Amino acid sequence: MFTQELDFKTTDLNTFPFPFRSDNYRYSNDLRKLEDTNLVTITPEYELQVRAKRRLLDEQPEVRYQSFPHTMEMQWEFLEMVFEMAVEKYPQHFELIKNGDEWTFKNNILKEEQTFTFGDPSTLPYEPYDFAGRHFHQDFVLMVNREDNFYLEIGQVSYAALFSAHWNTGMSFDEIHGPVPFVSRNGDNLIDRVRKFLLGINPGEPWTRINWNLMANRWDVNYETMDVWEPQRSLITPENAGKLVRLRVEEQKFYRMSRSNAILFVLNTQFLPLEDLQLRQEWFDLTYSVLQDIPEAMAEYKGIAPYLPQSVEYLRRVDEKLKNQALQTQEG
Amino acid sequence: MYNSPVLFFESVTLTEKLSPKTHFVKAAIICDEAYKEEAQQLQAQLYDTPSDTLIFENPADVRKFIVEQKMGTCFYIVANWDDAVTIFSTAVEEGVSEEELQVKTIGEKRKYVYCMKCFTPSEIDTQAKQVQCGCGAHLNVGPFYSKVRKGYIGYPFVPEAEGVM
Amino acid sequence: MRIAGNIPVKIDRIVQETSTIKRFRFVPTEDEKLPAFTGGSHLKTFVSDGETVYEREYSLISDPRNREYYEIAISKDPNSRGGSKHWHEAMKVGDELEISFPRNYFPLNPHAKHHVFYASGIGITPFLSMLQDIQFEQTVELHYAARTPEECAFYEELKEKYADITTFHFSRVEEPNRLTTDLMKEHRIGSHVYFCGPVSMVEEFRDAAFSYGYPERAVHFELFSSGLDNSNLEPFVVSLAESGKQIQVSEKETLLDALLREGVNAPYACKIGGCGSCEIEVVEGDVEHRDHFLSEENRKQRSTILTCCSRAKSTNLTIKL
Repeated sequence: MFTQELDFKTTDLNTFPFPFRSDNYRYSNDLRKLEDTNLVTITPEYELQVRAKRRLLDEQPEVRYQSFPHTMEMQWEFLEMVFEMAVEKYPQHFELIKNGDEWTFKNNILKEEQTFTFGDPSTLPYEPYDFAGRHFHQDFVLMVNREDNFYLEIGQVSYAALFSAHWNTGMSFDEIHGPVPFVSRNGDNLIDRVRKFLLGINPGEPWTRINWNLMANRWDVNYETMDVWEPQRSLITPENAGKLVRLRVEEQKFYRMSRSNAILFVLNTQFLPLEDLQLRQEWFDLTYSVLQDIPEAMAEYKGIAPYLPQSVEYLRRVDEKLKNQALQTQEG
Repeated sequence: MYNSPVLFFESVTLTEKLSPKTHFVKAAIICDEAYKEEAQQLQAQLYDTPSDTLIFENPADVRKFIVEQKMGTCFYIVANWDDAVTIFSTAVEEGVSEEELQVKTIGEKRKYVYCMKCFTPSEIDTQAKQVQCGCGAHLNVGPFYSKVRKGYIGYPFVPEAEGVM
Repeated sequence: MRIAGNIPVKIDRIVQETSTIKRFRFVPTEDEKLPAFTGGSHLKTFVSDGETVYEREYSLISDPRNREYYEIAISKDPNSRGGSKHWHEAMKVGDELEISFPRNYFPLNPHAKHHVFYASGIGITPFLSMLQDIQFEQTVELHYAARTPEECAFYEELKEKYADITTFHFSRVEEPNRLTTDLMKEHRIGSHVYFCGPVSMVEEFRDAAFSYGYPERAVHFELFSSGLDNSNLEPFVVSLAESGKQIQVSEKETLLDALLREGVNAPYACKIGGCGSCEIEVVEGDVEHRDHFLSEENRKQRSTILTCCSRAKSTNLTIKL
């Protein structure tokens, strides 16, 4: 069975999408136009992440991948988009040879090659969306625009944060986020605002936002394993929080798919243990400042309430140590 | 469609008392034989709005009755839970939306929990907050409902860890 | 495959469909294939006469799955602000231009059992792609109004391919069969109605559908332009409740224009009051509603404004931004 105590973190800090910009960052609809519109990124952790993702998909296929039978055309649209993005950005790592509908995709990092007939799912070992998604480390969730909402019709999810492809399949954006209403300081229903914003996203105009959370000594937390990770959260102490608690950042990208009339959610999840925050002093300061000021309701919503105090205490001790060192250096 | 409305414990179409919905120009009433009086009471409140009534006997007749209705019709259902589910589902299959439906069920409602360990729904007491699934898993009954999974989410937990048995 | 921005294309065929309607076909100049789209989609075209850039939206009329070329049809509008006139008089085969990705504000409803399309004049265009994109075992019928068969664009094509589901409504022939709203009284339960044509026609059908008891979600419409009278507009001042900012909106610009000019991150999409993306809550002041999106009931219940076309009734308005 898949080990959740995986020692995985971002090693090239330049690839870590650090989420905080001001010191009172909370919830906001901080959507920005996506600058690098190509979703494929190769980091030092690429191979580790892709292999771990595939292991999860193989071990728990029903939990990690869901699709409806009517989505086949949408799946090919996705496959074509991501393969062409990969080839365009990293021609040394990926190749796509088209001979009419006979396509060959090569992944030179993993030394893999697959020839298939575009439009014929029987020529691939997995469904087209699943197959294509297995070459990239992100999670891919396709939410189809029907009436004025979005419905999860395909999901490949290997980094869940209180989410499950199995459970959430077929649900609307509102059903996934409701019935817990989350209201901003000025009383806006944030879910409603985000949904309306997503409705306005056009093909050719991708957007992005960053979401963050903490993760206590796990790769991911889904509903299926709640009995396992829920009790574990209280095992966090100020002494072990530096290693076991990781800042979990989810860089989200939104693409309107023109044939599917859907929004493709691309979720790039990266982790940084709290102890590694010291590698960049401003990251440490911002994170400490944000975490010690989290409202109760938000900590509950994010599922971090049971170990947030221990995490903040860890950061406080480090901060105190750093300040003492600075003082000693000055005096010395 | 996978995301079509279903009749569940908290469906917006459920009402304690049938009452004419404004906006519609015609009414179609489908009721169990035993609740004919309810239908008649509703009819009295409809005044000039034309209405058709069908006594529920079998699903085929229900479908025939529904597809003969025109746009602008509101459907009122009064039946026991199981019959109401049959009628509701048939209406939805024929394109009737929740706005065009009002349902009064008589007797016990049914509620289901979907076990996140064994992926099966099972019927539970409507008041239950914690249940044990047939597979052995202990479940907290959550607030989320899935039309695809046909139940409320059941979060698995270990009783000892929460101090509950 | 193109991911963002506009798509460069070339006109490779022009067909005079009627005395006032031309059909244009675009092929990609840089890309191997065009994106497939969904029935009811439109795109923006960007053409220039050297001085003015005409940014205009037209419905796609070609097969949504055809990625070799796109087709649109343009009616020469006698009140043209320059766009359709330029398209009719200056654009020729071989001309290159940029188009946006297709986008859809007029999609087919997935829950319908039966779709009924009501088209008047050039309003036929979105239905031409929708007819080719019916899914989920749904049925469809088309009602198409024109003055005469000669003025009825795509008459032969529709007769040939969709004879069994199409009814033509000609008003200036010997035995006229005018298009009237009471047809809608007879549609079976589970029907969804779609209107496209001049503003007056769309509003007549929309109001009639509601009076026949159609729920809002079964009524769909698209307008080719806002159809608004933009003369005699008054300037006003908008106050932003959240940032405390005050912005002057002149008689020449929309509220949305003014917000974007001042760098306010205001939502928007269609810019012709048809999609509701730019809806913002109003804190204080009365709104002169000029959109086609909010129903009368919406206007009474929700205190909101569609910034792309609606304005303040008096000199001041405070909105939640």
